[in-house]
Amino acid sequence: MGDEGLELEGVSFAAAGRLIVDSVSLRVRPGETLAVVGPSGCGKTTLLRLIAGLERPECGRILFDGDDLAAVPPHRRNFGMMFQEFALFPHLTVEQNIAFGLRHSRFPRGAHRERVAELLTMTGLMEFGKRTIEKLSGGERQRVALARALAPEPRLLMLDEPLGSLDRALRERLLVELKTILEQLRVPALYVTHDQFEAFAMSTVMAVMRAGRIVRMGTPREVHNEPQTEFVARFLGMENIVPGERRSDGLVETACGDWQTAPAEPGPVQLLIRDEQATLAKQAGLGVATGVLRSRMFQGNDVYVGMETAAGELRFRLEANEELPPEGTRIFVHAPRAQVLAAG
Amino acid sequence: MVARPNPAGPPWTARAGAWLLLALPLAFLGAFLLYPLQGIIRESLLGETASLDDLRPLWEDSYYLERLWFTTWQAALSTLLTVGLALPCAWVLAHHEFPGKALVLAVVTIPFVLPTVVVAVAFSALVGPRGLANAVLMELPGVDEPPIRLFNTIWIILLAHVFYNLALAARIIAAAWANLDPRLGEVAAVLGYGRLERFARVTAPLLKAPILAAGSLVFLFSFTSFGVILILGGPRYATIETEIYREMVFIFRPSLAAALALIQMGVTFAFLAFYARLSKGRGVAAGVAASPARPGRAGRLVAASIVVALVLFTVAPLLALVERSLHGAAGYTLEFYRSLGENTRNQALFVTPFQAARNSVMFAASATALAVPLGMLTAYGIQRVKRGAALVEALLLMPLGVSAITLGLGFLVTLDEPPLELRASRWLIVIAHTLVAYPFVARAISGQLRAIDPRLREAARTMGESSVGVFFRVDLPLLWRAIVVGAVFAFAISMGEFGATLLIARPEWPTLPLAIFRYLGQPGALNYGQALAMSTILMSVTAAGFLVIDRMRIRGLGTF
Repeated sequence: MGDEGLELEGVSFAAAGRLIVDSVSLRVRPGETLAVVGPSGCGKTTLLRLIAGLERPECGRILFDGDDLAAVPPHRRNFGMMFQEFALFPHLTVEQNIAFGLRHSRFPRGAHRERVAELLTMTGLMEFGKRTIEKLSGGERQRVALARALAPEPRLLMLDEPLGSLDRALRERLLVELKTILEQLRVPALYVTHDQFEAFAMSTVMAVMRAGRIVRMGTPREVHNEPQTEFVARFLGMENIVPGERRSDGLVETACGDWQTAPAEPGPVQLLIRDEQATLAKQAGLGVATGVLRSRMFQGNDVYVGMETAAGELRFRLEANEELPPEGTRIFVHAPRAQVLAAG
Repeated sequence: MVARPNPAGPPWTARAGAWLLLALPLAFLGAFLLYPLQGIIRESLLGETASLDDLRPLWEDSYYLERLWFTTWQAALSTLLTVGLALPCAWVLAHHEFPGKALVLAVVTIPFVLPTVVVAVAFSALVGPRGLANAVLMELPGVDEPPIRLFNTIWIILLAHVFYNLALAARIIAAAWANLDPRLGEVAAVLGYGRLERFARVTAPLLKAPILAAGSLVFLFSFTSFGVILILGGPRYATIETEIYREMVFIFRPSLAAALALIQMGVTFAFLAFYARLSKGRGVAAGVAASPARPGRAGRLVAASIVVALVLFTVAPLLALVERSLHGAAGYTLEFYRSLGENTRNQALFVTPFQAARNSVMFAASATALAVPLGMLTAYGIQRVKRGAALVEALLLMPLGVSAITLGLGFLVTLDEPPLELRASRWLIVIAHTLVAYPFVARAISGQLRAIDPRLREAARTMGESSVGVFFRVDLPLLWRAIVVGAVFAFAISMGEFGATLLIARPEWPTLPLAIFRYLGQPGALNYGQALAMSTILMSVTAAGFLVIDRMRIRGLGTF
């Protein structure tokens, strides 16, 4: 049972002399959703195409349930894939699009109608079966694409930016629906996105990619709490990164204040000061950043403040009911969470 | 409610302006297309002198039914062959990048712009009894007679029609194929479809419209093909088009000719309407850049062989034409070219070939000078007109469905008496050429005009340009390439026009294609050699013009 699901071992792929995917190893088990995130051009879509068999890896192995897929062409893998911008067949109706993959599935011909009806119900498209694709809205297209990918009961589901081209409100609603469907089906799934929030929301495990490599892998909580490198921290939107000097007892001294971290090798380090759980302080001290208030942005539950410090610009989320002095005043912000980042 | 000021003024001025722009083009089409066509109808059905008795042979003599049958099946076969061969070519053009691709594309499209007479002569130079292939084969020991006997067979007609239309069909299909989202095929692959099945169930259905559009154009051209049939086919292979010519010129039964022309137009207009509907249809999943395919070694090899075959097929007749034009009885010589300025025998023409060439250039320049302003007016008019645009566009497409001989016939029966008595005028030829060329000009310009973002003009207006200033500083700089393309196209079409000119030109005003045709009909090596030399010159002019157009890279070229 140990080798159930998808496994990649050191998979690399180059095009035009450039490494697009660089020795990627990962594993997705039934019931898991692996979110692959990274900036555009980091190789995430290519990774999906390699798994689907649309591209051949230069080296490394792709296995499913322990079987090497190297000799299996894409149409014999029985994987489902939802393409970016959906790639629906313009010459077919909604029903015909969904039924397209059933021809080569375990469903006998007589059961196709029933299966299509099942998916139309699951995706809430009951009245849309006879429509042509061009008459559908973005959200409806997304559902058709999902239904088409799910219809043949694939053993693996891959979703490439499934919400990418939709507007924000629609995305949030569909995100919930998609998550519910994936949890019901329990097929191993890969979810590619450039959006960290989508990745946090959808995945059981997430992998951050940079220039073809996976630079951080873990549960969404682990990755969020311990980004580990400057690249991952910045990609996740954590901007308060300042240079400092670590003493042997773990105290890090920076130009804007001192923070206690775990004891380690002394020397120059990059310190990430988390912007959450911050409060106003009366004076400088351990875990307190000192600077001049420059901007404030009311965001409902909290206020996002920008302050200018000797180590550069820092931003924090303060409780909305904190009494803030006028801009230009010197303030002290107690930011209890800080961690040393590795280079990269 | 507050009335919103309309920056374009009250709508009726805009509409009136549009019809003002269209007045001249519509008058032109009315006088020189619709009026002659009306003349044909009158001549055939309600002729004052003619009676239904004149038309009796049409149904009493099975000969005409046989001609209609032959015309149809040769066109159908030409179409099937062309589209069948165009598919692999389109596949290569849409999915393979190779060095020199733009040049290859330009070269293989040359046949489409060549005058029919030149194509016919080029094939005769390659595989005719005195052609290059036979000359080479007869060098072999034991071969005393020309071994390739394609002349006056159906095969050379089909071959010439494929030669003519292959690149056109391939380009239409390739354009659509390249626009297909490659992910559609990948979806099918992921959903369990093998390569062949993907083609059958995804690619082919999505390419159906462009394939049918290309097919209907090829059918249209092959159905009304004139020069190729007349020169290569011989009397055994008469089509409706050559039959109209024969009735009119040799038997002189104008009402019968007109009736045949009507029958022919029934077919061509049906196909034209079919084509117009297809090419107006929805674009298929366009807007997605084709991902650079990385074809395997085998795929590249197949693609390379297709390209080589296509180039050889295109270039062979053209090179044979040049070679034969330089090959006299005693080896290579310029004798045929040198003699173009002489008219010693005075047999074929009243004038020298050189003067015929001068006539051609003069007619072409005049036709271009008429076609470009007419095209500009039409392009601007169509863009502004709200209702009736479809009508104007249909009218613009009409000359394509009126064969050259029909047009000439219409001119003969209507423009030789008041109100439009032009029979003796050189302008008759210029007008005929303009009519054939002008829709191409209008389409080239109108395609580019549509591509101009109207906000550019609005931006210029807010920066203080008058509407005249906007025309010169925004429109013209963005349009001039399209205008040049249209002009060169018009010039080339006029230079090569054969059918209509053959009917209406007076003996003292022959054009280059007419001179070639007359010289071909004369016995003797010198006459044949001079026909080859003139064809080479005509080919060079039109091919060079086409290469200029191709460099301009205007959208909509090769489409109608």
